[in-house]
Amino acid sequence: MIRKARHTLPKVCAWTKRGTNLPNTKHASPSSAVWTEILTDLHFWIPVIVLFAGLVVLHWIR
Amino acid sequence: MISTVSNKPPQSIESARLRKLQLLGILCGFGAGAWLGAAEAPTKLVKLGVSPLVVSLLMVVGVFFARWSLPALIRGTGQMRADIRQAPHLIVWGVLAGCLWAVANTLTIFAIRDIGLSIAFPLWNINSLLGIFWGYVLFNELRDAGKLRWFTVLGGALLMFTGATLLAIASSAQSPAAHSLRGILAALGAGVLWGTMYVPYRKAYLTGMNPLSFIAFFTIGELGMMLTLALAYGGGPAALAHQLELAKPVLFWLMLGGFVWVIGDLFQQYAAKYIGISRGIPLSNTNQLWGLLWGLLVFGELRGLSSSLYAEVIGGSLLMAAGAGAIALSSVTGQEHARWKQAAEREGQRYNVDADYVQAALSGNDASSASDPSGRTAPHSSRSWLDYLLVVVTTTIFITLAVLARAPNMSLNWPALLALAAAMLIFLIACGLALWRVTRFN
Repeated sequence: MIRKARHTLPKVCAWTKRGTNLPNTKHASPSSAVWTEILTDLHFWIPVIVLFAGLVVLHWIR
Repeated sequence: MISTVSNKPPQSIESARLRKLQLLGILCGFGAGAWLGAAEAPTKLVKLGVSPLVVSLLMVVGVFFARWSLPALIRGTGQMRADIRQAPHLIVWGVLAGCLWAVANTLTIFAIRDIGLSIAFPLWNINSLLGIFWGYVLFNELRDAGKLRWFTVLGGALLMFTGATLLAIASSAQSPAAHSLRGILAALGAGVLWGTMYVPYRKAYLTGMNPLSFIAFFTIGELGMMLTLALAYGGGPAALAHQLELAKPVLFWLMLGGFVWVIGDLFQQYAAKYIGISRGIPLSNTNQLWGLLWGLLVFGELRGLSSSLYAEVIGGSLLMAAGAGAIALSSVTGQEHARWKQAAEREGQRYNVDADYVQAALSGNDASSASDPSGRTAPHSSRSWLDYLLVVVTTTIFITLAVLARAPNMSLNWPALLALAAAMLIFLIACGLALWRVTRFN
């Protein structure tokens, strides 16, 4: 799991830890790292596929 | 108040608080049913010659205004910004859910046109079955729930399926075959889209998002998608403008429908948050009974049909409602709740969301008072000029449209309409007060 890797490499990935004095990497819009997490999340693709299927049905019945 | 940030896993919510939140979720589910059921009534105007796409677009415009003005009124947009700083990925999930909603809503317009409100409603309410499925597979809902709860949920699902089948048979007898097939497909398609829409919902609430923040981004997706659909299928900007001109007299009613939907959806979001999608969604799907009441009592649907068809429609609806009730009332056990928390931890780790923030939000406490990663603390329900501007602009638009609106030339049963409106008002007050007392809308 990618998630576990983050916690087994604290020195390399220390910037991901909260409460450090390092610069805040979180903004009010998704950063590229967040996008990577979203696009590699299986849960994301389920609604995307259903959305496209719904558009196909709509195109057919309208 | 939570003032520190950490990566420790969420602690358990005390059982008394959990029970209170579950009761709140159940009440919100019923409130959602009443308001969502009423929101479909304006789509009856489709029969007055307005294009289904324009009907859907105008409802979404109403939804857009409501989804920004209500959060501004209740919490202030400053709180929304604080939420998004904690979990920026939820902007994407919100927009995606909004796109799903827009397509589903458009399908329902076609379904109502082809098979009628009373029939189409229960068919697209199969979304609750899909909600249970996704809740189990993706978010650990019903895991370790025990045999009795599984039996209740599966029995309820079977009842709902039987009810939907009865209604589909009744619809085939009511409409010409070609239209009935198209209408059933549209209603079922809407059910699948809405059932899947709950994946982003659950995703958001497991990571602590406040429903009032989530819906504001949700609506960007729905308005964008709806506008795209209206332009693509409506013949381009000029044709759409012409259709909008034709729809002027009913503009208010359609936007009002959207506004009513938002209130119902807001209660549904709180239900999904506090009792999960596998229970919250079936409960809010009692909207089918409200839809049936509006269709039968206010619009006089199904007049002149044989008594056996009446029996099929009413029996099918009651079966579906009984199934939904059985599912909803199978309360969450401590063991199952522990599995929910595992799913929440997984989401928190994936998206690097603060554990304290997640815990505070799951227990209905002031999540936004947890510091964001930069150490800033979110403002406490202070409203800015922007919030007041949003509320004033929305109110002005609705008052202006109401003045310009003409009553639809339809035969309506006004006493029934007033009685149903009074029932909705009671739910609004009860749910609003309960949410304020238990969570302060946090």
